[in-house]
Amino acid sequence: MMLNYRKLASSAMKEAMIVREKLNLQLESPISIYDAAEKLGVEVILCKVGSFEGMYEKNTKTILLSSERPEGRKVFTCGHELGHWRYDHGNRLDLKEYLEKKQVSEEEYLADIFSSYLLMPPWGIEKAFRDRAWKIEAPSPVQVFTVASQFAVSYESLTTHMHFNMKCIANSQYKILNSVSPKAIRKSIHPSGTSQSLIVTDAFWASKTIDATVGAVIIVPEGIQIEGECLSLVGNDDKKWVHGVTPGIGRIIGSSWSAFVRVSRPSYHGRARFRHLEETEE
Amino acid sequence: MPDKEAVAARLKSAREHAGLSQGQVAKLLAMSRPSVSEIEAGRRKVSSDEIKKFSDIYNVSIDWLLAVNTGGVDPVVELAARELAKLKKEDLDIVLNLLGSLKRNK
Repeated sequence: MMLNYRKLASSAMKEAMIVREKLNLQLESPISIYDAAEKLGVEVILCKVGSFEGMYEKNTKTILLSSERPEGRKVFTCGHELGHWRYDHGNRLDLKEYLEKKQVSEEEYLADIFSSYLLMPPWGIEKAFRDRAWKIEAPSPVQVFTVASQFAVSYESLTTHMHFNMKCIANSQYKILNSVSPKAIRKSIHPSGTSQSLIVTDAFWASKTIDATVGAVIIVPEGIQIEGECLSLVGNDDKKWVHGVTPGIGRIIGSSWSAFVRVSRPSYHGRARFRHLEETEE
Repeated sequence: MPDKEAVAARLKSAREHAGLSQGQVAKLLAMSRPSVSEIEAGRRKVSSDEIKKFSDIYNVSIDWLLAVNTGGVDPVVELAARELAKLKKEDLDIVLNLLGSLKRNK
């Protein structure tokens, strides 16, 4: 059976907006997906497993995510699984039987679009480019990377969303953006750019929370201050950045914004709500 | 009567799956770390009040913690997932153990 993608996309977009409203989120604001799930009564567990991205279990309202994936990808997958929750997906099946069953593409498509709009509301993306006086129809890779950081998604997730859902970048521009690897972009921004966890904030940053892991590098604008033992401020006159050094909650205070930074253990296995709990002295 | 050793083993497993150290659990439940350690070693009796508290912070069912159903994990689950066929045997075991232990009907 042919799927009516336009109809499905419209439904998923509406559902994402309803959920944002339920969470009392403004239409343009970034979302912390783990907090959102918790507020909606959905448990998120990060698992140290490599062979799956994520799944949703209906009876226990639980999302399982692989912690062995880059941050942006985990966030998108969590939004995707929250889409399955919103649509009450999940079939009562014997697991052995399920393993042999083909995936239900309609459900997966809905969940992907739901996640895209929940995490990257078009008004928010447009505003992020407008605030910085960047052309949304012709952005540079670093500009897309910066806006992706603000919405806690990967570079690929944002370019895909801007091209296929928002339709604000043409195919030729999409191809140009896709031809540059996130690794090359990270390297152009920071000397240790091979690190998977690079977050770029600037003077226009508009997210109240930053989720990072130990070892993450957060590029910051001039004149910021930090609070909390989990963070350290390093760099030179030219560029400053903040390192996540130990699990915990800290704060970055800029001249026009401030954000809480939650630093979690890398490859963490456990309930998402405990991921940034400080270690205790033994 | 719940088997003391089985309960102790499940408490340890639930704590690890919740992502907590013994010290963190002690802090969250206002207990001493040696108490948590003794309970998990099966050397100290655990009260019903404590079981309830452990069940809450680990998000596991009390029945599972008390090892009431020792017949293994129910493999019937209601899943929405992609590419399950790629799941490795050891990862599948982790998933099934987790799902079998969690609180239901929230």
